[in-house]
Amino acid sequence: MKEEWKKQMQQKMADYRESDIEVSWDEIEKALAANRKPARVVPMGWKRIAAAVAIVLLIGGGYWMLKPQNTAAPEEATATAMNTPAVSEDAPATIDALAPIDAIAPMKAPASPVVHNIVAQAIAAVKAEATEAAAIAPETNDAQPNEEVAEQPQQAQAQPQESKEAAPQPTTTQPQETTAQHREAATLQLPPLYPADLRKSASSQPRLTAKVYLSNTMGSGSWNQQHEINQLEKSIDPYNNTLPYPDDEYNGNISNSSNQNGNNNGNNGETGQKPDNSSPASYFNVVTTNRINHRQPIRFGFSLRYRLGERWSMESGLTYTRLSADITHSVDGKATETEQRLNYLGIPVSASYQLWSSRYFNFYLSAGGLVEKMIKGSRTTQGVSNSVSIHPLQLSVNGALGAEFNIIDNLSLYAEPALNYYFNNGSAIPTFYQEKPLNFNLNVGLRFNIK
Amino acid sequence: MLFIGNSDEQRLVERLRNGDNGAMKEFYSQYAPYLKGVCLRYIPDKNDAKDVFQNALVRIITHSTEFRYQGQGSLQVWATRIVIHEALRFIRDNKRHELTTWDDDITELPDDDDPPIRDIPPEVIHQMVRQLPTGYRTVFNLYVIEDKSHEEIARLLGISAGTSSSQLHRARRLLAEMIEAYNDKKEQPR
Repeated sequence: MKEEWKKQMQQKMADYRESDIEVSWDEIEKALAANRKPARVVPMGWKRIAAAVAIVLLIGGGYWMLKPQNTAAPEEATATAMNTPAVSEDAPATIDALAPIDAIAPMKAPASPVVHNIVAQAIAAVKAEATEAAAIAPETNDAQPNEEVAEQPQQAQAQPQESKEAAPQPTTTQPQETTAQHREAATLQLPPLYPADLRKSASSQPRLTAKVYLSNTMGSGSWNQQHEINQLEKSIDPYNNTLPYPDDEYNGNISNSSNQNGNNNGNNGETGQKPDNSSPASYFNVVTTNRINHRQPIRFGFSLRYRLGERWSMESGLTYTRLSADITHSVDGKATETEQRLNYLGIPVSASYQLWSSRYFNFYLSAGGLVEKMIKGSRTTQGVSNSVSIHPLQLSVNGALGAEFNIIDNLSLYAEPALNYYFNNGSAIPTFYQEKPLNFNLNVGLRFNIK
Repeated sequence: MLFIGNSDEQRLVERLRNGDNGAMKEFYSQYAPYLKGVCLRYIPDKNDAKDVFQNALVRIITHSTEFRYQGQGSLQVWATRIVIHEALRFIRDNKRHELTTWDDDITELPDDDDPPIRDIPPEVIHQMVRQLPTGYRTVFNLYVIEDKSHEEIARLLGISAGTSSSQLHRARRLLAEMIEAYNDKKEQPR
């Protein structure tokens, strides 16, 4: 067969258009919507997450309610920390139940944000990812005891010293006297680390508190994630592990390796039908990799806390989060660097339960959710910047253990080690949230008592 | 003109990547006719072709965020590849037995002259290719139109390179007969 004949044939087919398949865009849209429907098992996963959050709260709070006169804040802190992984031990059962379903439903992946109804999609994503939460949860068994248990004893040890030093200081205020009185009584008790009576009475606590804070992910800042997208079926569509035959692959990129910045080197021809076909061997199979280096997310926020009763309070406010990532995209060894920056505004809502409080210290548990919307995003490649948008909302849930130190009246410094889980919002744009949906934060901030 | 076309395609890619619903519709109206043609060239049965095309479109759209623009026409090449991929999947799943024929042999086949196609309109060629038996047609499409080697075709279809080679030979012989008949018919009325 002569090359010329082949070229003629290719050209004829390149010019050929067909309308004989009767598929309308509406039908495609329906197929897309069907493709996107989450699995029916989902509500269970969602319930499990809610249950996990509730259990953390209940166990933490219940422990205290059952032992009102006992004094052991540090023990409690550790106990709470231990309880959290216990909750996630639930998860393996879910995995067993869900994994086969995912495997059977190859097209069920919520892959790209087509549906413009943001709320609907966010809800769908939450549902779909709730199942994944279960799959991810086992990691907590490793991660949590290390970090959180390690965290608590430090705080716990720091406290007795400070409270002992602080309490005897002569002051004239009324609460201080009672504190001093109780301190004497407390020293008679065993163990006298945290006398229960040292707790502030609820009436002396402020009702409305404002806070500003900075939040950062704990641990080392960044890590690399290698994406092999030359095998689309296997890696991008992880739900499809039923490959009907070996080498079933095509990739997200064509083999135009010399030309990845959009320069037209001329061999595409005027019609542009078949760019560089000179390497047929790589037509279906080009090694293309994306290495994504996510930097530490940075979050600022402020919020107002309103005390509902003796121990419970509600909190809400506004957050700003910035996610940055360096993406190295290589096609056949040629790499381009892209910097991705995503800015989010979010509204957090949380409930907190006060575990223990004294004049100088306050310990509490809090759990809540955060709804974030990406407000501005960009990708910069070799000086050229393109905007990126993620339409679906980013939902997350979090649980935290807070330690607060009163610096002066009405001003306190606090730190909250927190565990966050980010639901996949269906967007295909790689974000820190998707790479590491479950992570630890350390929130540090100041609280001002307003009234 | 080239630059305008270039940036239009690039802009469409960017919008697709951002999950723009309008862009998807635009992609459909712009590329569907060509992609339908490709699909029918592999799967002549309209009902089957419809299923395959629909699956391919869903895949293209859901994976469009993974596509990277690499010059004019690259979006079409990428989309075509997915259509072909889906078509091959269908063929392997449903027509596997038609990929090989009992009379496969690897004996040296003479390289016949290429039948003249210069004056034959694309739609006629297209119909001819569609009339080829599944095995012949698939190999012909991959070898001639997609420029793949027999080794690659063998790997893609799960057949031997020898089978691919002999299927191509038969495809061309059959096609040559059709072209000849077409040319005769065309000349007769004169």
